[in-house]
Amino acid sequence: MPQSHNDGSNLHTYIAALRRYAKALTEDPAEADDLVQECLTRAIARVSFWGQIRNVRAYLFSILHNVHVDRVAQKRKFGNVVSLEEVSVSLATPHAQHANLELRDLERALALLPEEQRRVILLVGLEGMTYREAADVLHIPHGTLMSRLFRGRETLRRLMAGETVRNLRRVK
Amino acid sequence: MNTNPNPYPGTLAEEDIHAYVDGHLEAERRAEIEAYLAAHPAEARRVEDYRAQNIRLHALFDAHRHEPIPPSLQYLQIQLGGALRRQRAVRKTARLLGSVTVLALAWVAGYWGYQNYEPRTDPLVAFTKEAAEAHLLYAGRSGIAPAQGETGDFNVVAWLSQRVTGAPLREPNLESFGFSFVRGRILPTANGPAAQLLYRDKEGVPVTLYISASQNKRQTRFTFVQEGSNALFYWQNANFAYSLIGELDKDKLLQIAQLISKGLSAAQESVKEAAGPASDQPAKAAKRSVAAEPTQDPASASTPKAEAKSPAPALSAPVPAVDTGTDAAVKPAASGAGAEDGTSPAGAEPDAGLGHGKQAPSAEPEPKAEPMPAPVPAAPAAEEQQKES
Repeated sequence: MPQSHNDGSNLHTYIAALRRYAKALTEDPAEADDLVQECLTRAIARVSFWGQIRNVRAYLFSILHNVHVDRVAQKRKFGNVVSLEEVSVSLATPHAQHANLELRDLERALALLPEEQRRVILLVGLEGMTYREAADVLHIPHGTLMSRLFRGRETLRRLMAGETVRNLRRVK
Repeated sequence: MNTNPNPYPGTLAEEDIHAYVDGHLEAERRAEIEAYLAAHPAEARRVEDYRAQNIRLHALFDAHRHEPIPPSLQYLQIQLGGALRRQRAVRKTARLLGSVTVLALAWVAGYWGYQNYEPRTDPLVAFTKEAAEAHLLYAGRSGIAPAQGETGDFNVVAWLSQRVTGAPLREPNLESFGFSFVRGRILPTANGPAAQLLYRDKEGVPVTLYISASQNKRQTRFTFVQEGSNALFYWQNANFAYSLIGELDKDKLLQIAQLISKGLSAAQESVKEAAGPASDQPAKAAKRSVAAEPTQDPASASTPKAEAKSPAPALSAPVPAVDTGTDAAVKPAASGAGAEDGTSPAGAEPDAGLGHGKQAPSAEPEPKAEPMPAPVPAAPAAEEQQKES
């Protein structure tokens, strides 16, 4: 952990990272900014006069995670369910604008991962968090984090290699 | 980062592979992994794939980091930054206030301690002051002349020791140093009665021994204080605090103090051994205790009688404690604790002054000796009262 995240002086950097993570998570820029906005609003309300936030970055990501979990639960409640067949169809339809074939494949593969694995892969692989930080942000034990990371990376690898993978993401 | 031992030698723990991919390993472990991967091409390919995933994730999403932040988020950023800064400022102020409070408390406590130092922390110092004042008052050149009937009959040491330990003692005999007992008196003090014993040599030079009940039941060694032209040694055992004052050479005064300490504690011991009846004859009792100690040199027996017969050993006894006394004299106020730093064990122990092998434990009165007789019977009486009611 070479970086120190214990003060608000890098707030601009953190917010940029939150937006990136939210976009990777939702695949929808408007929804991503909405997530970040709610995250920041909650954070402002929670930064108490007397408390102390040791790791501002992890704190903000943790709130963003909570917001996202709430949103996902809401969607589930209102029946925004996507069947596996639909996912397969959408896989076949190239909607990504990336010219680079490998990037496009990764984007698609990532979209197929179960949400929980995707979060871990993004926090660790994209945001560069330590396993401990990521586990804190997601409120899960170290072992759970590691097994999600193992499975997620292996699934991505096999999807990228063109293999068919079972037990993929059913709900979006 | 990853320190889990690998349960399967020759293979890699899965966590090691990922920690390697994510760059969380120490150099040493990293080198081990690289050696392993060099020998396992399939695993090496897997690692490369995982690495490529990380690189491509950045390629996919990093563009979003450089997009301008929309105004709604900018506004929230400013608000959050302000909240975080306020929080830091509060913590900083609280820390500062905390240290200021600690400093203020320390100052107040220090001042209070300074104000209350003498009476509270060292009753011995107050005791020596009383002793010195009493010496000036009753034994000094312009001192108060003895009132009629003050001499002789009333044994103040016996009275005081009876009061404190329940066993009467006689005043020490200093004839071996050329000092004759003149008279004793009981003086009232804030901490109960004190006995003052006045001795004079042939030229009329006074020495007084001042005895009162020990206030804190703590052993202290001989401590020297120069009070004007008077030299003063004080010491304390479990039962009594002593102060010996005289316009004398320090070394000589110390020898007298050692003789007194030895004699008194030996007498006290023998009184305890004889359990009462022998208390009228401390010389005999002390002799009995001498007989019970085969290692003791009879010539230096601690009874006044024996001393009177052979003063030579006492006088020629080594007196290394003088150094201790000098040290203590530098800071007399701290001597209650400071005197324990004395580096000369033989002379520094109040009862080892004669240096003739009397063992320390037997030479000193047991600390468990009855402190004040009054409160002890009071408790059973109270119990009886409760039983009756």
